[in-house]
Amino acid sequence: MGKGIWVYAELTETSVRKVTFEILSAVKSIAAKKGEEVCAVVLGKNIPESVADQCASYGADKVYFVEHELLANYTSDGYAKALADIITRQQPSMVLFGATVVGKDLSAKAAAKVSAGLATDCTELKVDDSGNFCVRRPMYAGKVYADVGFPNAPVIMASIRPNVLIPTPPDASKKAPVEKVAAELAAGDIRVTIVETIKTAAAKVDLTEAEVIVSGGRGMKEAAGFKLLEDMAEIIGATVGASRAAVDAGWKPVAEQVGQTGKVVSPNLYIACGISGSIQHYAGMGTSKVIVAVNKDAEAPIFSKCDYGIVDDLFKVVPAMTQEMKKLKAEG
Amino acid sequence: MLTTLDPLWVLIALTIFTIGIIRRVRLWMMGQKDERLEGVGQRLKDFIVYAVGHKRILRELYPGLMHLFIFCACAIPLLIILAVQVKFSIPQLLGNLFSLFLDAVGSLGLLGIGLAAYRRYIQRPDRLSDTRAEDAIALIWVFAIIFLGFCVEGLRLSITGETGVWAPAGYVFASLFSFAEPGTQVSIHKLLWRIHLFLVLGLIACTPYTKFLHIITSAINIFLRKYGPPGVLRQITDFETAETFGVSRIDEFTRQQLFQLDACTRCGRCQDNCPAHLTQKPLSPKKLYQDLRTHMEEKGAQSAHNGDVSEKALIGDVIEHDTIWSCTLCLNCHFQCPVFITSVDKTIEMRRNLVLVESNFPVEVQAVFKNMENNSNPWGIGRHQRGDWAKDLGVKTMAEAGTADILLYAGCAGAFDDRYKKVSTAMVKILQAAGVNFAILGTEEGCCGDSARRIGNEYLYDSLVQYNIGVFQQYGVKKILTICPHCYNALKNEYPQYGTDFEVLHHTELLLNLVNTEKISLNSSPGKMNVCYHDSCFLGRYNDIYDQPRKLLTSISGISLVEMDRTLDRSFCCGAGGGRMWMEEHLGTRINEARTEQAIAAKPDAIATACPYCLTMLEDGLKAKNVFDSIKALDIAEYIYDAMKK
Repeated sequence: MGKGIWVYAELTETSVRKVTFEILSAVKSIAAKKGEEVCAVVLGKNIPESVADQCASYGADKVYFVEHELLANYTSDGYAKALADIITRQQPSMVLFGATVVGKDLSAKAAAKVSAGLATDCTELKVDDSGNFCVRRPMYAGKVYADVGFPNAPVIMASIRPNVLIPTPPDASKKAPVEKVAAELAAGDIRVTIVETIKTAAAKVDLTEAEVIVSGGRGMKEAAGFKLLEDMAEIIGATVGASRAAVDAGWKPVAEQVGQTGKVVSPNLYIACGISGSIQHYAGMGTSKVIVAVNKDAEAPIFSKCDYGIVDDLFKVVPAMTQEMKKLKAEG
Repeated sequence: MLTTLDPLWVLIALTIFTIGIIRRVRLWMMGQKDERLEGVGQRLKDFIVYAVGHKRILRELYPGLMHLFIFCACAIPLLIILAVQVKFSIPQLLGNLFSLFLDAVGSLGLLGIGLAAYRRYIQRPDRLSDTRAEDAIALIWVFAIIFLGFCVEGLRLSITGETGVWAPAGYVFASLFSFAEPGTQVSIHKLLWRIHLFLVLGLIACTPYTKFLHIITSAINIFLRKYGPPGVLRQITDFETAETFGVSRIDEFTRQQLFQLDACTRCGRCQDNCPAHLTQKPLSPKKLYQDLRTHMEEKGAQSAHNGDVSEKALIGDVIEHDTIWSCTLCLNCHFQCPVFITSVDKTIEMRRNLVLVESNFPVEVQAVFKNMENNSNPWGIGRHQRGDWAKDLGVKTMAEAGTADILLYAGCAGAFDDRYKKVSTAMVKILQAAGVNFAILGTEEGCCGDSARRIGNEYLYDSLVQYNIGVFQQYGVKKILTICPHCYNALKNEYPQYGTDFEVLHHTELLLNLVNTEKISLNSSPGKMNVCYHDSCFLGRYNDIYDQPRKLLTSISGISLVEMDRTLDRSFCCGAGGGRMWMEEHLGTRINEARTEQAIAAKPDAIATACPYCLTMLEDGLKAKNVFDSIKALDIAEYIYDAMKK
């Protein structure tokens, strides 16, 4: 066994952030190739045991619980010191983070403390032909990709963009030993005091940050038509958008306009209903990962740009889709 | 009848006049130095045609004749008064005819004033909504001068007992005084003559201070007008050294630009044709000139008192941001102004200041700039895909062909917009059928920069131009064919500022040539249909291409033209010019829908355009009006390609 590939497991209030599982799933094969074990590292106070089981189910061979009174809330100072200390002690070959708000902050600070190289916001992990680990990261706003290697790095460190790697199905039978480590922290180590954590109202996600958008155009025929889209959005946790035609017609407010002169969005899934897909609209959503189009005009330009297209009356198709989504959701 | 004191009165009037003129000149001289004037011969000719000859004023019959009558009634007698200061004699008959002529001129002058008063105070058209007290005073003043002139003439006839045959109007006025004894008539004659004289002297004295100033400034403005392709913007060449760009203070305009503000008589023909004004945007060219003019006067008064009290910002306080961004740069106001006042040169300098210095522009434009910078197209589609539209068309790129007679410049719309790709594709197929030796640039093509320039981002425009010219030079390009009128105007009229000398053709020019020389034959007919052609501003007003598209359409059998009310050089903008294509239209109603309504009113079966922006805007308008299924909008190239099918 080598020194170990570590994945920093970021906790949410109740569970572990999804990106952690994405990374764990992705490094399994790399660890196997290099003959190293996969470890999840969790920092906090009184970490529930279930966290270890979750990490194990996605491929962690071992779980470190780094606990301390002062790690109850995330602070750059506290977490970076605790993590850097254990890295220095255990000498893993690699530490990976999710490129989340916390992950970006912690990875940079910890990397500086242990003098490691850090590749940020990566989209792919791989082992090159000569057996060296490397990552791929977008540069210049995604126009080019750079493959980054880590020659002579004492510890390889990288942060991975969320929602890019695909998690494998969890294996609940898999268990991993937990090693509890007491962090050495003094009150003076943390220069920032968390007074209060204020959450933004968990209302609708802003269009530009939404992972799923259901959008309607002139084909919605009237403001009331958007009810169909709102129903669907509710089921799949999507945000509703609109094309300029729908906004012009007064069916939707300007703030919800997607397109060249509206919001530029890049969700994982964009469902365009009754939108012809003119270039002015495409310029605002062309970078969506998966585009689904529903339009009764088979000649509509949107069909040359979508991944999945349905040529039919949206007033039939959308309710049917919503029905199916409901079923799938009920099945879990 | 002159008294010894009279030369003094004349002197006083001239002095007041001169002081007034000097004051105006001081205001104009606050501005920056202009380029030298060239082509004096042409300028004199145009002065005769447009100032004396009223060519543009007469485009609108009622106000045109009205003005011509008043103009003649003032100018001709004044010339005669000056002429008769020299003693000479003419044959009796000629003198009689001349008397008759003068009588007619004066009568028409009174008619003109009546027409003017009726128009301004009874008809009250929207464009005269800013009527001021001085408008009434001016009319009454001129009326009084002519009226008294006739009274004096009538009295003279009555006193001398001359026949009224050669002065019928004067004869009518003579009857007004028939109640008086001959002796009294002489006294009245003397009195009225003196009032007449003082009114004339008074008018001369107050000219620089009142709307009479336009007699001088409007005429001179015609003489000073810009020649060459209209709408070409001033080039900025000192990016490295300049500390500020565009205009943010009134004295940063040029002297001629400030002078123009004094040439405006508030006739309002500009706003009657302004797409922004007619769709309730805060822009009226007339108001723009007047607001700038008032500000110029305030500034002038301030600097005379060495104080910058109540500092009003030119942009924001005097001219609102929305006013500056509302302009589509369609040039309609330039073409309708009887005295050649221009708005685009002023608007663009203020935009340049907002963009290049203040970085203050409509938020949606940010993405456009970024997309043009990164991918050389406004939509931000990867520039490596720029050649994809022609992939399956068997077209060679310049890189593959090495050389070609004609470079087909697809433009961003022709390369990326699915709708307009159909036009560029039709164009390629026509050229191939006609056996034209052409090539495209594919991925090496870049955005022409028109939108960037007209939004005010001259820096971005400059970098796009430099790149494009580099590519053209690399292949020794001599002749460029464009589809989009915006590319056409930029390459043809504005790139020469960088020293280029290639020939540029718009597709309507080349297509007409191909039809005329029978390189392509139009065998197929769409059946009988009425087609309404919409003039693109950048093709029509900017480049005087009105006939070619119409001739192309009528060369297709079955097609008849129907015209909109606003057509040719009065064509109404689609709403997308001047970078407005990339901005939201938050204020007022939609220009494109207004234009679509005008087109629908012409009862066409289909609409034709020759510009990607116009096509987008009109198609959107047809959709908004729910007639998209019954009235199609197509580009000229599509009509031609369809007519070539066997």
